[in-house]
Formats: sequence, structure tokens, C-alpha cells
Amino acid sequence: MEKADQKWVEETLASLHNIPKAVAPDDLFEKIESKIDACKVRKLSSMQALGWAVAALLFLGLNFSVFYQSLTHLEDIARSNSQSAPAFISDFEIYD
Amino acid sequence: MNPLDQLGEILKRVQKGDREAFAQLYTSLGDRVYNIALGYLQNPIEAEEVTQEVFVKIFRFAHNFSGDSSVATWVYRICINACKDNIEKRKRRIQPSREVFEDEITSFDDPSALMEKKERKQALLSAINLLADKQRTAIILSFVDDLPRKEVAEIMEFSLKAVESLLQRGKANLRKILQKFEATRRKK
Repeated sequence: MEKADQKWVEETLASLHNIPKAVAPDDLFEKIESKIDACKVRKLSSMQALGWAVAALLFLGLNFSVFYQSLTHLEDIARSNSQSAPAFISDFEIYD
Repeated sequence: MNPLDQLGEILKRVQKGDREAFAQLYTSLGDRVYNIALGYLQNPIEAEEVTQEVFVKIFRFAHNFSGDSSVATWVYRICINACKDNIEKRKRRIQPSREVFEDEITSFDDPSALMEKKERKQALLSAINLLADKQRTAIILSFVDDLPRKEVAEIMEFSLKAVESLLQRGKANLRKILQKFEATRRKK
């Protein structure tokens, strides 16, 4: 390598110690703030969606529970009716 | 109150969603974060995007700051990780940085232009970009962002000795890359 080339390499390497510093663009903080606000809106709308989902689940759950209760209640009535039926018959046996 | 404690207090306020404190944090660290990103990515638009990403993360995840390190160290780590992610994404999108460097070599046609400060800086940053990951991080934090060795060691989670060794090897490799750069230019 020639002397001049070597000099260029050494000088370039030495410039490592005084690399000029860049300054962030003026409007960068505004952009950051607007991104944060956009994130908040997204978070809020996803919270709303979650709220609706929870409400729908509760509604369906309640409906199912009412339906299930009414079914079991009907079964109980039928069972008690079927249990009381022989009693009626046995009552008639008195007259035999 | 020393600057480190001050940043700790500011971050506590940011954790509560204080926008004024967030602006103060940006004033203290914004340029530094931008310079690290610029050193890594060597593209002002990408550096700006990464700086935005870093500060949005700081605001959203301020409550995750454990206090094991200084606030600045925590912020620099977020920045370095964001830069590395960006480089990975870029690698998937376009050609590796080495090819970018080769392109830049061909653009240095005028020997007198090489002597200019701006061109020299460009050559140096391109050479830094070709270093191994850890050497590049140590060089960028130490020389582009002028951080003390102790802080670089803390950010990289290495010993002071390891950082000094990385810097030594990094400089030696930079010299080799610059020599190669100069030889390529001579051939042309």
C-alpha cells in the first residue's frame, strides 16, 4: 500500500474520535406523540370490542341457564307426576 | 440531583402517563437514540422510524422498567434491539449491507472528494456497518454516541475488559476494511 493511501486510512480511522453528531428532526417528537395517541385509540376500541364480547357471552350464558333451568324444572314436574300417578290408582284399590 | 437520578424520577412520572415528563425524557435522550439508530442503519428515514418506535415503546412499557440498570441504559438497550430488528427486516427485504458498501465504493470516483470530511465519514460508517455485530455495537456506542466505556459495558452486559477488547478488535478490522476500500478505489 502506498504511503498516501496508508495516510488516508489512518486519518479516516482517526476521524472515528470526532464523528459529527446528528440532530433528530424537529417534528420527530410530534410524530411520536401522535403515534402514542393512535395506539391509545386502538387500545380503547379493542377494549370496547372486548366489552361487547363479554356482554354477548353473559347474555348467551343467562339465556342458556334459563333454558336449562326450565328444562330440568319440567323434568321434575314430569317425574313428580309419574310418581304420584300410582298413588291415585292405589287409592282406587280401596273400592275393589 | 445527578442526571441519572433525574431520569429515574422522570421515568416514574412517565409510568403514570405524564406527557410533560415524557417530553423531558425525549429532550434528554432523543438525539442520542437518533444517533445510535443512524450509526446502525445509516439511513435518516429508518433512523427516524426506529427513534419513534423506541419512544413509543418507552411510553407504553415504562412500567416494565425494573430499575436494575439506569434509565439511559434501558433506553439504549431498547434502541439497539430495535435497530437489530430493523436490520433483520431489511436483510429479508433487500440485499445485504456488504453490497451497499460495494456500491458506495464505485461512487467514489474523484480522489479529491475522498479527502472531504463528509465522504470520510461516509466511508467510516460504511466500514463500521461491515463489522461483526458485537464490535459494531461497541464502536457505535463508544464513538458515534460518545458513551463512556463503563456505560457501554453495562448496556452490552459485558465486562469492561471485554468491551475494550471488542473495541481494539473492531478498530483493527476497521483498518483492514478501509485498506481494502482504498485498494478497490486504486484499481479503478
